[in-house]
Amino acid sequence: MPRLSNLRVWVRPVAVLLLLPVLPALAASLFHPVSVSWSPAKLAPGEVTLEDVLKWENILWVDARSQTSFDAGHVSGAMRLTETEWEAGLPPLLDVWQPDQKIVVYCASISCQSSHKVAKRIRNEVGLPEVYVLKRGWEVLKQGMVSLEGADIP
Amino acid sequence: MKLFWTTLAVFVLAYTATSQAQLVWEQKHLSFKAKVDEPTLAGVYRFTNRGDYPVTIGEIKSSCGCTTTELSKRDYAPGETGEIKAVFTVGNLSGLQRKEITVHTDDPRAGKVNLKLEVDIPGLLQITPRFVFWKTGKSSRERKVMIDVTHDQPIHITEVTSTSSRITAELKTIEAGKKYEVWVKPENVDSLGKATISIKTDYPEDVPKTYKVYAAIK
Repeated sequence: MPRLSNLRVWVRPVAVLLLLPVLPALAASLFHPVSVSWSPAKLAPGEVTLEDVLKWENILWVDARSQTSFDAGHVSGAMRLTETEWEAGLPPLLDVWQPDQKIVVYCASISCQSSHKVAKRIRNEVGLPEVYVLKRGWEVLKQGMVSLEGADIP
Repeated sequence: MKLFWTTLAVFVLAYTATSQAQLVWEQKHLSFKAKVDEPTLAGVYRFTNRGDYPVTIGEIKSSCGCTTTELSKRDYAPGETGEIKAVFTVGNLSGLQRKEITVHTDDPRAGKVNLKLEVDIPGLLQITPRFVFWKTGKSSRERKVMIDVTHDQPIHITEVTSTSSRITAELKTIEAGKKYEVWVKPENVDSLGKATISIKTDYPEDVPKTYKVYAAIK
């Protein structure tokens, strides 16, 4: 049976070790440019939730993730377009896009920025009118609310 | 108290020792700023086998067709040093390019190593929009594409061509070497059609760049 005084000796260093990671985590959440929002309802400019998108009919999905992630699983019919393979990805996207179609760009998660960058370029450089970013990207898509395809999709 | 810190130190040391990979890399991340007239860039990732048994390098996979790799030999004895050379072809790419090279080895502690290559390629022209379109049966009004030279030297547009005889493109010089317009017009919008407009420049002199604008009747 351990004595109470022995336990007390261990409490302080264990507490210190447990609290140590809290400081950088707190600093990151407050100051990091891609920190996770504490408010799930708050949308950045141009962002939409999956709930909103599910109400739309004419959508062209754009996947802004790596080829490996895309091959593992993506929204059925999604076109892949990334900043680094922009010139190769743009013509096929323009071939399938139809006027009056809304474009919804997604990347891996809430913290990735590639969907925002790709959406901005489609809007400003390519000149397509209705371009949105899906909040939380693949994180919410993989829950199966929309039709998915790929090597890892059952 | 002393026992606690000693136990913790032993665990940390044991973890560090067992997680140490055989191959130790001098650098896993290379960054370059490309010059305009450089068709390719090469970077070298050096490594040393710091373990006590040989390591064989297997497949080396690049995330982009624009990056090729060269490795002089595959087997590395303990203490031996080697290098992987990555050659990046600039082509028509522009802006910040981030590529990944995955190196597979038979090292049980680090069988897969990810090397990063970052290349910043300066843009020479700003072309907006890159896509013009018309709806079938609607207005066939011509569309304007603006070209601004963002490079510090003048760049001239030498030729503008269209892949379709139904959709024509006409170059208009606003300020030679600085500012141009391309006016794109369909013959009619009765049916679907598309064209790629090529904008040829005189820069860089040895391999002048060509840019593309896309047009479609949807």
